[in-house]
Amino acid sequence: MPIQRRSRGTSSEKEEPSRSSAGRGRHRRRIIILFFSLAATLAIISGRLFSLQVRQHPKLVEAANRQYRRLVPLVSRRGTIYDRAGRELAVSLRVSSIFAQPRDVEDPDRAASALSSALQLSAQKVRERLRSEKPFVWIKRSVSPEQADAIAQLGLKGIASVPEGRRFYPKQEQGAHVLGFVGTDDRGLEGLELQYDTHLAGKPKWVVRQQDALGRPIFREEAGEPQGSDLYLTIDEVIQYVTERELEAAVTRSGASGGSAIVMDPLTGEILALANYPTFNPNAYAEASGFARRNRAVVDYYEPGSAFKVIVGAGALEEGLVRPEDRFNGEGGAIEVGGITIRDHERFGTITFSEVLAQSSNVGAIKVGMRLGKSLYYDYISGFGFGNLTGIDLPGETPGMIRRPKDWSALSLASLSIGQELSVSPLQMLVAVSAVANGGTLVRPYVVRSIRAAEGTVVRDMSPVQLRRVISEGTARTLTNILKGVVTEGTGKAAAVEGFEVAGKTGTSQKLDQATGRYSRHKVVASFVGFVPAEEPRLAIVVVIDEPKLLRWGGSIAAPTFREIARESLQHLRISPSARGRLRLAEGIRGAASRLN
Amino acid sequence: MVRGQGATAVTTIGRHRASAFLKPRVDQIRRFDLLHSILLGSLVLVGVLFYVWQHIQVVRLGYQIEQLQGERTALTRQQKELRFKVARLKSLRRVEEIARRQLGLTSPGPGQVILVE
Repeated sequence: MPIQRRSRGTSSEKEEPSRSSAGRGRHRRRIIILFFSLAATLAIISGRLFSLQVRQHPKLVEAANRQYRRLVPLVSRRGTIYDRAGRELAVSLRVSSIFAQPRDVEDPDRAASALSSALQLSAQKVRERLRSEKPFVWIKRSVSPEQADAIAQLGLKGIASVPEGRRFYPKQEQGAHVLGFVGTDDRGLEGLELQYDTHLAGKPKWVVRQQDALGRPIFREEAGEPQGSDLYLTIDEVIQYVTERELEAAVTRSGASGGSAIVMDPLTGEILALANYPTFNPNAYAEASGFARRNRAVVDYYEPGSAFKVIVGAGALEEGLVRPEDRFNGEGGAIEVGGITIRDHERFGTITFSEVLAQSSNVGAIKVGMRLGKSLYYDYISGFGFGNLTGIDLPGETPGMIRRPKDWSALSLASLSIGQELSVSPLQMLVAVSAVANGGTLVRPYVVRSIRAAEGTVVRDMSPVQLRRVISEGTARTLTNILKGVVTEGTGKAAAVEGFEVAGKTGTSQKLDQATGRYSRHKVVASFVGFVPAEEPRLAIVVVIDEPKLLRWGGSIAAPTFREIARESLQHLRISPSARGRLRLAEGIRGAASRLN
Repeated sequence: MVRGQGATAVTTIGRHRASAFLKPRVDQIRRFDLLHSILLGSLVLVGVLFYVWQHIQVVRLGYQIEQLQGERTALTRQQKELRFKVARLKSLRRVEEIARRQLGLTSPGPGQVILVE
């Protein structure tokens, strides 16, 4: 048994190692196979990873970016235009415009019917557009948000909307000629909209947007919409309104064909108001005539007539050729020059130089002009800026027309002395008289005070520009006193503002008749240009009425318009009457009170 | 043979002894290893989950930001429209017309305005 057990035991012991070694061998083989399998798998994975991560990296990154990153254009919103007190004069709002891609429209008749009722358009016109061969057609630009929603709800294939900026002018006609207007493509076409178009329009931006598989945005690199710079003007909305109202009243009252008026700070050149009548509504500029849309105060010119006697007087005083008390023979109201007789509006005897201006004597002015002579007079004319641009920041300014002395006829010096044979713009006339008001310095007029970026940072600040000295302070003071006489006892009495000293000059010039080539007896330009308070001028104002039919004199139509504009503007600017003016005003009130009693 | 048997016997006994002696220790090590493995695995899992959660949160917040930006744009637009309406209503022509026609007011005459300095 033991042997058996031993022998059994021995054989099993012999078999066990051989079996276990065979098992180990199989085990090892399996491990080796597994190892190589894993190694091969790893090698394949590594190879693939190398291919994806290294070799194809740029291509795959680009493909991925294409899928979840999208470059989106952001259209810049046009900047706002404010008056000097920050009141909105021109604003841009986002509106939708409806367009069609006719090839994608499934049923043009049904779509045309739905669109025409939603957008209040003619079904026939919409149908024609939808049947167009063009790949893209506008159905309606600048629709209301409600209409845009209605179109979206229709869910018509091939019909979509795109957001666009649209310009609105909340004050309608107010300041229309200064502001100008923009076209349907949101580009400036006139006025400041054109002059400062690059600042106002801004630049479109491209931003990267991350989106999901459905195209829904997840992230955007930059929030908000880009916006053009804002303009802050020198224009005062209240003075602008008063100027427009009074100008309209004057044109209507006199039956004139039109008129212009400008209010300026004579010390700085800041334009406080600029108006033309007839005017237009920039929200619907296409409905207005070209005449109504033209900024005639800046781009048109006229013969200034007697108002130009200020320039001949300034030159003669500055050169010491005349003194206020110098006497001139009125020649019984007529003088012959170059074979032509020039008459006064009334017969004057001997009058002083001050009276020549106060009473607007043509004979006296011609005699003063002759003392000055061609060359010197021309120097003063061009020195005061006539024949050149004033440099105002508005488009289309005219330099006016003035011939050189070598081209003058025997009559020219006399004609120029009374404001004929040259053309000036109302703005040029105002700038020249402002030089008298401010002590003899020609200033550059301007309309934009400041350009500010959307976030409020200042892009550019405009400051007053003094161009040159044209007359001395002494001459300016003397001339101011003479011009005060025009209002107190001369042709411009209607320009007197209660409580204030006013200096100015009237002008009534005949217009050239295009048919006959002669001065018309019926067509005149009536004007008044002056400043107030005379001693410390704050406002320089020019009023030009074109072809008045009822009140044909500068003193009877332009001067009272000056007075009304000046009176309300001074009140608005809280400028107190002078001490002398206050006294006169108090006397006036006492007189009125005693009359009532 | 004897030596061989003896040696085999000694080895077997030694093994049994060693096994008996080492088993609890090996079990302890195994438990310890298992615990470590579970902990490590959990940590990795938590890390992965955190990573995924973070990404989901970022995307979710992205949607929220985009939605809020859209709301802000709409409100800014509405504000601009309202400011435009206010500016239109404040038009001096309109105000004067209401003052004159509806309220019967007139412009103050000379001397009726006294500026207080």
